[in-house]
Amino acid sequence: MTFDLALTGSDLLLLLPEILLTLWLCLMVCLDFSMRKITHQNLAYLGIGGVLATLVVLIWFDLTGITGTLFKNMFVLDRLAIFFKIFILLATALVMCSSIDSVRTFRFFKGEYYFLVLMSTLGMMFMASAGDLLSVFVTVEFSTFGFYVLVAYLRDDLRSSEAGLKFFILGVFAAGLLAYGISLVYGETGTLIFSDIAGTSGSYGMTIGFLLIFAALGFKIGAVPFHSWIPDTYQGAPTPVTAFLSIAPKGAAIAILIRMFYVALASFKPMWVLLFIAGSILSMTYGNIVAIAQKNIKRLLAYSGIAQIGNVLIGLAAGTKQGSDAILFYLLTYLFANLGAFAVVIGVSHIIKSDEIEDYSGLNRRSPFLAASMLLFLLSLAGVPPLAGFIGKLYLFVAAIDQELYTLLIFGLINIIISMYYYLIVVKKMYINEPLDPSPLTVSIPLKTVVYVGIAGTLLLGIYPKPFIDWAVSATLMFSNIAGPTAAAGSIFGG
Amino acid sequence: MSYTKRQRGVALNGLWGSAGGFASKADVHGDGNYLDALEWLTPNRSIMAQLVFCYFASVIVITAALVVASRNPVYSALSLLVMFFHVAGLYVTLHAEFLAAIHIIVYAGAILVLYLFVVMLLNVKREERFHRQATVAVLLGLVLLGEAFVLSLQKGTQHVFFTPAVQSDTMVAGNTESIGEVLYSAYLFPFEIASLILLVAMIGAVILSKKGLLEPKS
Repeated sequence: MTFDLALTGSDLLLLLPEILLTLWLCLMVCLDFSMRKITHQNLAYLGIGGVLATLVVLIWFDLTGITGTLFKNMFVLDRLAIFFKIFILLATALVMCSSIDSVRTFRFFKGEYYFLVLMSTLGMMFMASAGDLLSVFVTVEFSTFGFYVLVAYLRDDLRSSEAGLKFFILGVFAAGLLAYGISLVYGETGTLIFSDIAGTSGSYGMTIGFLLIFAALGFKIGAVPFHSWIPDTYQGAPTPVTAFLSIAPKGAAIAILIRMFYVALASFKPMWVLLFIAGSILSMTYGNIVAIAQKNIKRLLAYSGIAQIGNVLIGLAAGTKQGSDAILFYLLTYLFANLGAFAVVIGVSHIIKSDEIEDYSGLNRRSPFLAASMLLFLLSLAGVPPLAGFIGKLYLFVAAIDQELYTLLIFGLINIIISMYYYLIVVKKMYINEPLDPSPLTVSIPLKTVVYVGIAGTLLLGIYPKPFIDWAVSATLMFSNIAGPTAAAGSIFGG
Repeated sequence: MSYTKRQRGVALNGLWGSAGGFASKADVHGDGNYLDALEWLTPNRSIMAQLVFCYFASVIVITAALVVASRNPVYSALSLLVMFFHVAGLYVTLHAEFLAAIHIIVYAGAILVLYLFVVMLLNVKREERFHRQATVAVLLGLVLLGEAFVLSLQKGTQHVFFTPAVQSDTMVAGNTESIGEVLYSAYLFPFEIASLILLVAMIGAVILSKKGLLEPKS
């Protein structure tokens, strides 16, 4: 059998967003190298322009329903992929906007920062479309490579270098697990394509293989017990990179997890549901309890991120279409609240040069705008009505109730209360404690924009969630026929 | 299905077996026909195949363990080198000569660089670097000799060792051609992504290692 490569114009159309972004990247690099006069701000705005142009293309795809597969299912462009690509691009645009202040303080390679951010974005867009295990491996590595460099970007800062090294070593270890898992699955089934794996019967090798793949992706999303790199890396990395790391790769890895477990392993649902129940309970509980003891706001957000991933896994533990809808919606709410909170952290640390929670004392006196927006974001992360986080958590819990996962539900509710405690400690510091230095804080315009977008998103998703829920529901239409309540999970965790 | 795809299946199956597991099923033909992988190693095919495979697999496992277990980084690098040679040997037994050659060229080359890095950067003490050189040299020499022996045997009598399960056209064309063919058609997508990875890695390496940036500005 001979292979032929017949790519028509309409095939290439499916790749248009990625091709557009790649060309835009090349343009940025050329401009950065050839024009001495171009400032890093202008380069940032050029990059944001590219991201927005790609977003427009994707929204056009979503509205006109352009979907399809390429390269024998290696590249899948369906509504789910489009949703995650839009999600990743939104996160990128906000992160680039909030990076401008920090990049000004870099001593070298200012332009390359945006290039690497966009390169990682491109990798994550490919991740959202990965339809077989080979492309999963290649795209995951692609997106992580940019992050390895970004985390260690502050070369004269020991913490950043240490964070970069830790992230690199554990990242490479995860890549090894991924490659080994993939080789086992291929050895057992003889195929790498998700839709073909779905037709095979299970075996021990395949189970071990998929467990290894799950572990590797667990590193990417930072679920317990694969979370060990998160706190140090988040603390040491430049804050905008931390913000980016806390949302975009998680979204992309969740896209792969959904696709892998819902498409390739749909028939083994009773088994993997237990895996996600355990992962969810561990992540939520561990993240929230350890977060209480944190003195550094970036570490606090790191542990809160681990707990939030536990929440996301509730949706996968439900293993239904409703569960995947809830994940998609929850990720949207998390995007706005989390990036907003990080924007406030960037704004504060840019002036007071510290990330300690103690230094947030009396923030309300120094900048009522930052304090009020931080309050809003933290409450949304905790899940207080009428903010976005509340609807998101409600949606996830409803999906869990539907599958009679009452144990999971109880853990989720207890964890909301724990998380409320440490979020409110920060709020208390900001509003009740006296400031050490009462001079007012000023926020730059790009950062203000990000905070405003965060506020708008958090309020909009909380008060009028319907169009976004509809979008999430339509993005996962292909899972409507996934199996109903699971007997095994129901009997063990039925309460 | 192409010859290369079949080889990949067998190669992975072989590696899987080398990890101590029992490959129960493998699509060795790549055409949906599931053969018992162990049948491929059964005596009626060739007892030699089994022996050679066991040799390569066990050396791979042992040297891989040595890479992490040795205290001396030079030994680690050397063990890694030996391991790569044996992985290449496995490729040869699967008629993936091109992959074997590439494996040796790329990895052995890289390991040589790694070796130099270890010696130059990690400040290995002089006596640690050179002691018991003769033992290592003899061991390595023997291994390489065995390798050369196996390779030369392969060349003349490949069909005695392993009878290819399927005679395909690509077999006639040679596996270099067939790898090239699938690389630029069926696997074009990962190939292109890999080129982007190289671009990121290049720029990242410059950012992380360019000299003369950390000195205070005059």
